[in-house]
Amino acid sequence: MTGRDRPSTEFLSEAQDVIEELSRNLLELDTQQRAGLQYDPDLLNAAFRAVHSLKGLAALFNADSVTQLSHSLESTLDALRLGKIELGQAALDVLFEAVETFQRMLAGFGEERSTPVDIDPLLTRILALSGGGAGDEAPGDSLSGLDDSIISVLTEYEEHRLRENIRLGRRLFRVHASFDLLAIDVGIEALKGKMKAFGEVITYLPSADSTSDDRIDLDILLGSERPITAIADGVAEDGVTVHELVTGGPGALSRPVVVAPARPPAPKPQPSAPRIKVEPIEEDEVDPIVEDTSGADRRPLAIDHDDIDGEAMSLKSLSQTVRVDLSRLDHLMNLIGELGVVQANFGGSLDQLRLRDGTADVVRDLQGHLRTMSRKLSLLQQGLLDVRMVPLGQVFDKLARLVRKLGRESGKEIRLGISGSNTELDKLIVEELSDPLMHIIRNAIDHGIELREERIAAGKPPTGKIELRAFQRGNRVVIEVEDDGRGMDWHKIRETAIRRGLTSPEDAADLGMGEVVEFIFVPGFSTAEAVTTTSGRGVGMDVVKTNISRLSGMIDVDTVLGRGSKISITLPVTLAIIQALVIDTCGQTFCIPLNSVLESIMVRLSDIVTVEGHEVISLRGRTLPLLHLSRMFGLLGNGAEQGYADPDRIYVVIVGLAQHRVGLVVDELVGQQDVVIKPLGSALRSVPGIAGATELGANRTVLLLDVGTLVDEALARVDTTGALIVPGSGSGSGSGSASGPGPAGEAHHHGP
Amino acid sequence: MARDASDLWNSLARGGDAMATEEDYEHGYKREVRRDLEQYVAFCVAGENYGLSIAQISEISKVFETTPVPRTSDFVLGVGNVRGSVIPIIDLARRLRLVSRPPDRDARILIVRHDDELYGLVVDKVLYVVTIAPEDLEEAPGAIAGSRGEYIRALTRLDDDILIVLELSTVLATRDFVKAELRPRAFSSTKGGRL
Repeated sequence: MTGRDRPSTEFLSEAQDVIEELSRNLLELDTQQRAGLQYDPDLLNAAFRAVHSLKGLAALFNADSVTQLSHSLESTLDALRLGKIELGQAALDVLFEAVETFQRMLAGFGEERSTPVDIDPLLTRILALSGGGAGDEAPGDSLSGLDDSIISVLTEYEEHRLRENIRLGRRLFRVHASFDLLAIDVGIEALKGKMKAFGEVITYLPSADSTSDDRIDLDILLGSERPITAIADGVAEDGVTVHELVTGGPGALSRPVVVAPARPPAPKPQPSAPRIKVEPIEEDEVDPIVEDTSGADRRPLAIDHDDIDGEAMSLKSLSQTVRVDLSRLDHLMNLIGELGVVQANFGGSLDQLRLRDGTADVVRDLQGHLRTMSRKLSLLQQGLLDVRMVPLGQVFDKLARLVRKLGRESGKEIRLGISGSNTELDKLIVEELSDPLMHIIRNAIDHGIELREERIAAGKPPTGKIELRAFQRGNRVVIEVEDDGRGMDWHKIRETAIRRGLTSPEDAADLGMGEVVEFIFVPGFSTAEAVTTTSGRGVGMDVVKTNISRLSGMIDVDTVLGRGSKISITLPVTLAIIQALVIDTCGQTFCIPLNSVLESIMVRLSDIVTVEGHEVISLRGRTLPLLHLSRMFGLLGNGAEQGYADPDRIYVVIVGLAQHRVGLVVDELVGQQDVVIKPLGSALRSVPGIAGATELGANRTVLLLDVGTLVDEALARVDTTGALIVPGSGSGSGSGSASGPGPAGEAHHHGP
Repeated sequence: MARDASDLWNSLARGGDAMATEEDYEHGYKREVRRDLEQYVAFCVAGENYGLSIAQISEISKVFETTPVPRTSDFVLGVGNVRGSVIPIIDLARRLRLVSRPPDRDARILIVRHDDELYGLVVDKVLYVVTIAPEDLEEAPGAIAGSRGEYIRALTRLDDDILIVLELSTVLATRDFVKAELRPRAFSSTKGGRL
């Protein structure tokens, strides 16, 4: 990476964060708006701030188009929060569009040469939005009852919020509090938290009559629907006083309904000494002073509203997180892997030492240390893995935007339920997941969810529902996408499969729902009569399957006609370290990812049956094709079986992904081990059947098998010679076919 | 164009901790006469002398054990572990269609960087480091085109020797690594849907 690129990667990741935050705020606003609730003005503020920081950031890094767009967006958001434009679906559409555009622009920066994103149409739309906004409210009406000294210092935004509160029929309160100068940010934060439960904080006004130099007194304007007593109970427990302001009343300025503090302020049981100047940084109590207020001479704000919850907060979070390039973590991971190897070598040396006389004590000592070291090492490894974990929320936010957009486009009403967005997965996996999940959601919306009328006719609620769930199960994470749409008609899928020549009518008759549904993963498979813009062209589900199996995940489909479908994806938590089964064949050692190993068995040679030149065994009623690793890899003279320990028996490792299983014939099972997977580099990446390499003690590099490819290869080979119908599988109730329809179909489809 | 057989070379041969000593850098910077001079590492493969720019070589290592990788071409010896990364190791003699012999005491593995990835090239012997000016390089020598022409970037004459400068982009062409019959075209029948 050249020196010139560094700031731009910094810019990208930071901008990405800002945009994600913006998107989250908008999504929440969207939900509130659609539910018909009053939206939370703080969300709009946060969105405004996000765009504002993006503008600053972009200007800093000379990303002109981003600066331009964010500038224009900033004005719109400002108009929105001032109530000049109504926050409706139309406005949200434009805002979401802007988020997408930002994303596209950022993606463009990442690549060497890319066509610049044309932002002009969007700019026009933003402008149109601002122009068509509602006019200003008539000034001076509702605020007439308020003290001029208050109104004169309000900013335009605060005034708008004040009017808004009055319009909504809320009461206004003045909350008076006193803070220690050094701990004011913490104090205000705490008090604000409490007040937010009651209503909206409109503004903070500094109060003139401070008691001492190191304290600041604030009057806080609060709008709330609750009666004064409730508010006093809620916020005044620390001795803050609350007054109700009467609006609209003739000449009434501020009727001082003083509520006495719930507790006397003087004897505080709290350990922190509130009046000591030197150490209040750690003090997070609101330090109260009760006194009478005479609201004279209020000056404009010393502490800006925005500063308090915006910059101050983000500064705090910045100091606690560090952005780290994933490759650095990989490097650390490698080092830990090597340490593991060193540790194994130590063990070896120790064994040699043990053979000598008079070393028993030393050996025992060393052994103790070695054990401690290995414990710490595994803690270190676990710790590093945890660092790589990111919550799925990032992807889910993206999907929520997609659902909104597709829903609007297709005219379907869709409610998206999300749960488990804090479930964590390895960063790499999360990145790879967004495409497959996007395809699944597209399918659910396009094929699954019906139009409103259709749903009503079917007796379903008019709004379609898509549930996006994530949860951890053991050391795997399950992600489910469930819709309550029309479900898949598996009879129709079966017909299509027969028509497309993916299976013969005779075979198809034996296939159960489970197998038939697998056909949707065949490239180019679609039962849709018409192709729409979003899906129906039959691309999609095969991509989903490919991506998921590349992450050594599994995918299951569950569907009920007329009721909906559920697609579950099961994934390992991380790919960096996996459990592997170590095997030997023809003197060479290989690792098999344990998550694709179903079991290991011993098979008597006499149990092997040859069907059309292919060896198979039957296991619990299922027929399994056998695969000799030595033959596939051309090791030591094709298929030399002389190496087996017991000439009558062979070891077979049953491997499989989802429904497709084969037995791998190996010479020896060595054991199980946690291994760090290392890539083979671009030259050897395309070797079929090899997924990577790893190290096993004593500097030994060992190859890791790509089970998915090997199984596909084996099944394709069996299939092309017509050995599909093997004894015992044809008569089953469709549940035990040795070759699932998936690969068989693929082979037909792509056969030469 | 002199042979700086010297400390620099010794430090390289020792296992390649550093490519250039500090002294060498100083040297290079002080010598303001020519900036375009490039240093080459000369090595011997099947009796012929080859060279690679010192910038392409990240270290020189003694021969270490490699793990054979099935389904690869004959010139791929396997993979080896170099400072924590697994890299492909190549029998350079076989790659250049020369007679390969089992590595002896002099044999070394040149760890080269190409397209941001490391590869190991097994050579019979590392000879010396030499500084060559660009005008002394004969580009695209038609004379020895033949079967090996594609792997040759240039030729240069040193005293009585001829040094063949290798073209790494063809020597390390990634599509040649996988056995011919298993290359993407060939196995599209089983894997085609996924590519």
